[in-house]
Order: sequence, then C-alpha cells, then structure tokens
Amino acid sequence: MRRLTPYLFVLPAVLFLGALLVYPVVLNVLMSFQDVSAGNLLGGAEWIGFENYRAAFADEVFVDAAWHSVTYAAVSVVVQLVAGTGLALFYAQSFPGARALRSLYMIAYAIPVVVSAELFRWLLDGRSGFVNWVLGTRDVFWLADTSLALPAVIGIQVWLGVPFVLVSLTAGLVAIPREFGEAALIDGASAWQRFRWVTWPLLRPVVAATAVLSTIFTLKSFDLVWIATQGGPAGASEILPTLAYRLVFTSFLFGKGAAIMNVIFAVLFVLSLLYLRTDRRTS
Amino acid sequence: MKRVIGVVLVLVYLFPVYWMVSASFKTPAELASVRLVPSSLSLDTWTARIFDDPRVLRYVLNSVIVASGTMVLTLVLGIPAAYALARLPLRGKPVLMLMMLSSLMFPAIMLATPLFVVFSRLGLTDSYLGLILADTTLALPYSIVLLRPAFAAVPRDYSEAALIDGCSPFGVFARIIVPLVMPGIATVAVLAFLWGWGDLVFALTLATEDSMRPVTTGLWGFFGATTSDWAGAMAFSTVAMLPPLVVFLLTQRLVVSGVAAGGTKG
Repeated sequence: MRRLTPYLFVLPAVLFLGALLVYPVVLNVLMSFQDVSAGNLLGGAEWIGFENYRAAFADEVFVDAAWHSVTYAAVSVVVQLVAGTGLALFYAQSFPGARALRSLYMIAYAIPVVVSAELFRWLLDGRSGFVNWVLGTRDVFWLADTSLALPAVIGIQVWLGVPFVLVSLTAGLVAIPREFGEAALIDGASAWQRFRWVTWPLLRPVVAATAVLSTIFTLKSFDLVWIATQGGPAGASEILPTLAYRLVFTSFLFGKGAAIMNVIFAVLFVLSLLYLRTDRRTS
Repeated sequence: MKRVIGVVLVLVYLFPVYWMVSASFKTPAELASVRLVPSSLSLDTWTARIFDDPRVLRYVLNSVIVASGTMVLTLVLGIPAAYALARLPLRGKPVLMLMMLSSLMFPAIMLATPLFVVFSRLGLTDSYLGLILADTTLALPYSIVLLRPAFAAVPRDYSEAALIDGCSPFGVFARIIVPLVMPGIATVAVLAFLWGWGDLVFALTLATEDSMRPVTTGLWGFFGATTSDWAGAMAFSTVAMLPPLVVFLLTQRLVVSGVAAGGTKG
C-alpha cells in the first residue's frame, strides 16, 4: 500500500490528461486519415490514407496560409525580441520606480486577446481609427486591405508579445551578477562594450529560449487573427490555425482540417524539442 | 531623466487601453472627431449597451463560472500531481514530465476538433462542465510544470520529521508541504483563472447556444466583423477586460513570476 500511495497522487491528473489530451490528439491523427464530414462524424467514416494531406498540400490556399504563418511568426518574433530586449535593458537600470513601471507592461498580457484584437480593430479602422489620425492618412482600412492586413496583424502581435519577452529577459538579466559589469566599468569599458562583451554573452541563451517560445506561441495563436480579420480579406491574412478552423467548423471538412492541425503540431513539436535543448543549456 | 523616459514609454505602450476605456464614455460626436481627452463624460453607451442588456450579465456570469471552475479543477488535479512528481518515488517520471512539457506547446485549436467530436457524443457541448474540462486540459500541464520546482524546493527534513512524529503521507502533504508552497499555488490559480477567462477557441466550438456564451464569444457575437458601433464595442471590451485586470493588479508579482517561468497564452 505504502508503495502505491505515490501513484494515487498522480493518477487523477494522468487519467484526466489521458482522456482529454492524449485521446483527442490520437483521434485527430486518426481523423486525418479518414474522410470525416458532418454526416459521418459519429462513426463510419472511410479510411482514405494520405488523401487529406495530399489534398491540403496541393491546395493553393494551404500553401498561402503556410507562408503567411511563417511570415507572421518570423517578423513578429524578431520585432518583439528587439523591442522587448531594448525595454528589458532599459528597465534593468536602477532608477526609482523601474520595477513598478516594468510590471505595468504585463497589463497587456492579462487582458484577453479577444479584447485586444477588438480594440485594435477599432484603432485600425478606416473611418474613426486612431492610427489613420496619427499618420495623417485618410480612409485607409488597414485590416480590410489585401496588402496591409498581414502587416497590420503582425503589428498587433508585436504589441501582444512584448510583455512576455520583457519579463523573461528581465529574469535573465537579474541572474547576471552585478560584479561582472562593475569590473568591466573599472577597466574602462564603455556602455556598448559592457553590453557586447559582458551582458550579451550571458544573456544570449535566455534570448534564444525566449525566441523559440515566442515562435511557438505565435505559430499556434488563433484568437488574434480570427477576431482581427478572420483571415481576410480574401485570405490575405489567413494563417494555418484559422484555415484549419474554417475547414472544420464552417466547411465541415473534419479530415482535411485535422490534417492541417497535425502539420502545425509536427512543426511545433520540432520547435519544442529545440526549446528543451536551449533551455537545458541555460539551466 | 530615465524615470521620465520610463514613464513615457509605458504610457505610449498602454495608450490603446486608455483609448478603449475613454471611448466608452464618449458621445457619438466626440468619437468621430479624435480628441485625446473627452470634454464630457457620457454614460449613454454604458446604459444602452451594458446595463440595459441582460445578455451582458449572463455572459459575465458564464465567464466567472468557467474561469473559476477551470481554476479549481486545475488546482485539485495539479497540486497532488506536481507534489508526487517532485517528491515521491514514482516510475516513469521522465515520461510524465516530457508529456507535461510537450503539452505546453499544444495549440488549443488542435484540441478543438476532437473535443467537439467527443463532447458531442457525450452531450457535453453547451455545458459549463464541457468548457471547464476543455480549458483545464491546457491549464493543467502548465500548472504542474510550474508547481513541481516549488514542491522540490521544500526541505526534505520537514516532511521526514512529520513522518517520524506519526503523520500519514497524505497528512504530510496536506498539513506540512502545501502551506509552504502557497505562493506557487496562488500563481497557478491566477494564471488558470486568466486562461479560462480569455479562452476563445473552446467557447467558439463548444458553446454555440447564446445563453452559454462567455464574454469572449459574447463580445464577438455583438460586435463582429461588420460592426461600426465602436463605442458599444469598447464598453463591452472594458467589461470583458475588467475582471482579469483587477485580478492582475492584485497579484502582479505572482503573474510576473509565473510568466517568467515560461508563460503560455492563447
């Protein structure tokens, strides 16, 4: 009995995740090899091998969405890393209120993404939007313009992503012993030299881990694009998660949607292995 | 000087949030002409769109139920599991931890289809239980990953002393260990609540009936792709933002430490 007690502690969580996480994922994989639609959802769908995957890869819509996903993740992660690193370094200086000010950025993290997306929908509106007013542009409908929708969504994603970079790099900066910088200062190193040769080498692993995590979050994010543009106009900001959602829940092509989700998952899985490696090196 | 720059940067960054809240108090005329500070405060939007519409209260209550339920279920399942993974002799620990870590990377959207299929069969769509179960699937692994180091940090002498004094293994866990990791538990509680409150994917797919909608899909249902009632949309957005904002402001430290440990969202 004594030896079994430890298992009783994990059993509820393991059963729960087995039923509601592992089983659904397996089901998703199975569905991707079947011709599942609204009619045969409850059983009896035909097995069609890799047909869903073949159809997805051959579909121009999928290829476009894949490119949008890559652009969306790559550009927003690079920009939010640069901005977040700058802010982290700035607020890591000791001045009165630095800590309190820094944690205010997290307000953007606490707000539901749906709310932020709705808010930016208005800021980027063509008629009464604040962005047009600031830029002095007239009647530019940022989110309804085929060439502007994706860049606009990337801009919003940067706003959403900065707090995470700021917080996790701050944790990395705090871990660097003060003496290192002070020693360099005594040796007459300039601010840039101290950053380049003292801070950066110690911060780099944290930046790498943060970059991988941010990429994962951005690649899997659905809420922002769905609320801001629903992938439109005319698919201009369609990313893989919104495409998969649309296939399943508006076209009822469960099998094809499941195939696309599995593609996303395969990419995320590779990235998370990368994260676990970078993270192990940090700690 | 640094302080001034620091304040200005925060103000610029958070300006959209101010703009949202102030819009909900503006008259239609003021909304059309961009004014940084409203000349007068009007409650018209709030009365018409929020207080006089019973559906808003319904959505808020639904969100409160789902977010609190997610929080409670995550803690009930997560605390003992994290403790066992940190402190008890178990076979297969690496496998379990790898499973927890890899589920951090899971897109909610990927679970949406299979959960919809399974919950349709079980009759769990359009129910609080269905939403709570769905939200917990992703909050739980995260909470275990976050709590395990907290349990591991409790000195072993404490539990050993209690065992020698005749405390049962469960008694050691409940009376000695859990109180010591309260800050970690509070962090997880807050993050699970924020997660449940902000969920869009499961709300879209598992709660299609209007009376079951939480604020996220409620907002989208009212002010969807074609809206031009921005004052109404911003008032509703303010309502949807307020509870998580209050929770955040009361527990800032906990949230920051949780996110620094690899916080995922959305």
